[in-house]
Amino acid sequence: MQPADDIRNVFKQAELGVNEQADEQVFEEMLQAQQESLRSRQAAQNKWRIIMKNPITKMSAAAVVIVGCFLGYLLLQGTDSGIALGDVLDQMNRIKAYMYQINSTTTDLQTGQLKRETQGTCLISADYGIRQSTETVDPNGSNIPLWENYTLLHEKTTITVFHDKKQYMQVEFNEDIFDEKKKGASDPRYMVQQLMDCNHISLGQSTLEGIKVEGFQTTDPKYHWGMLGSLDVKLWVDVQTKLPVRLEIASQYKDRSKRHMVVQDFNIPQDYTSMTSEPITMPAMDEQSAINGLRLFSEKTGTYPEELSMKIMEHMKDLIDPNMIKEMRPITKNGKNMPNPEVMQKYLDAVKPITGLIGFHARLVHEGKDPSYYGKVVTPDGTDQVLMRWKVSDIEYRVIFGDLHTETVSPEVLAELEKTLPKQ
Amino acid sequence: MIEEKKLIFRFKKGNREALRRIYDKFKVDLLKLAMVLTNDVNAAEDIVHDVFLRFSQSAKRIKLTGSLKNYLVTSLINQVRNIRRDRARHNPMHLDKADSVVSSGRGPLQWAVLSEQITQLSQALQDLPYEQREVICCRMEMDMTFGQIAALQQVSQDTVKGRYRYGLTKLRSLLNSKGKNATRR
Repeated sequence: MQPADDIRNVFKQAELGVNEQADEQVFEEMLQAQQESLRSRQAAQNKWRIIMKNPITKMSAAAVVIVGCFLGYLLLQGTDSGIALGDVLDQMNRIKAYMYQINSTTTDLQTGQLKRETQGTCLISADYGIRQSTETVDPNGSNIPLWENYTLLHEKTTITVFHDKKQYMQVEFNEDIFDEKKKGASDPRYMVQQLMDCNHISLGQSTLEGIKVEGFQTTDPKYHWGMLGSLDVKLWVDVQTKLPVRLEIASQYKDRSKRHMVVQDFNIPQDYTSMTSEPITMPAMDEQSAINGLRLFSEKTGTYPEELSMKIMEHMKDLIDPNMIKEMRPITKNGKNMPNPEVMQKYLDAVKPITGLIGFHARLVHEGKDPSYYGKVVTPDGTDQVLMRWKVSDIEYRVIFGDLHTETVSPEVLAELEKTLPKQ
Repeated sequence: MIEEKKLIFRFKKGNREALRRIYDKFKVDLLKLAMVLTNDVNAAEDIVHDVFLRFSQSAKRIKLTGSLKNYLVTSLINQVRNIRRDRARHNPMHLDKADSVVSSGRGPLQWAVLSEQITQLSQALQDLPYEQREVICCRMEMDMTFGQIAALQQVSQDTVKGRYRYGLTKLRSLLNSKGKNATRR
């Protein structure tokens, strides 16, 4: 190889400086990203507590986002030791949804080198399906997404998304095959079931991550239909809750490779309840829902909202029954007590016209329908004044007037109407 | 190395000063690397900006093992490859055949300030196949070993050495011919 000093010199002389102002801006953004990331970490650690500091903001968020926050505690039922795997399975089958982590390492037995390290998160809902995401870990410790898999129970379909390739694969199953496929999925219920079906022994009691656990072990090659080669499966169960704490599967494929898989960090909320008494239906977000929202606002305040944005929520206390705000207070005082589902339902129903109004306007903006809104200058008395308008075709605009009647007009007529509006 | 481990440890704890030191230590090298790889100052800035932002959010994931420089370079190279792949998908013209896209209109907040030499070097490097360019740039700009580059490119060290040798020869000839042309003019 020729000496490369000449080229090295060229690289050395190829200077690049940085603009200080831009430099500081980039660093400030990094700092912000770091702080936000740390905050979200903190929040994740405190996931069982939702602290609602600002009543109106939080109620507004609940109204607009519709999907609220859930609050749950692990209410653990204590039992004495001496666990049967059947009890564990019964406990697991009572749970509607849970989450856990899977870490796996595969080692090449010929070279002794680590072939692959992956980690994943699995979220299981007994009613809807399974979502599993898997990442690999590069030598520097950073995570690279490998794939995400969604198993949709009602559709009997799995969709696997390969992010690096920007491709996905959708597989549809018939009923029988789908039931079998579910058993092959990384569902710990089936893992426990298989352990029960195999010859297994008790490992006695121990302590794992501060939890008193009882262990079970199998080396029965029948486990997982004999597909894993020689193996050693250990399940550690919380003696109090009878729920799994950790499942380890060490398997070896001939003399080529060995794999060690750990299923842990079970997050099993047992007391989730619905925030509302009925499933929430989204408002229609059409012309009528906009009129309903405008009418509600004008009836309660005598004016129209100045702009159609989340700012409307600042007026929430004027828009809904003060008693309802009182009833909602448990949510706002300490974040621990959510209002009962009926109260939440009543509240969401009450603000539905407003969410419909904001949603309709946002939809018009999104669809590029040239919407304009004149709530700052038009009052409920403005019978002939354009309060809101949007394009319906190249030759027509739809208009909601100050008295909330509607008309379809040509662009020329609209221009004339808008000329008469007071200046904003 | 221990100093770097301490720096990473403090960064993982959310220390502002540690982040500042990491940023100051690597920003120019990374900007240069992105510039010579892409020959596009705007893309280079975006890539490095993105690399640093992702890094800032990675306190939870990053481990004390491994080198910080390797981590950042790997992240940068992945970004460059993604951009190349996306451009190739959306633009039928082969990137290496495309005209120089070095921005001439620098706004007041342009981050990187380029010398004439880096502009010329970046342009010359564009005539190299991308894999060779990556090897040359990682070796010359970031002082990476052939082993590290082989891991990055997921090929054998011999392949990397081959790419390095061919790349150097071609780059030398390109730079020489440009020098001669400049002299003639």
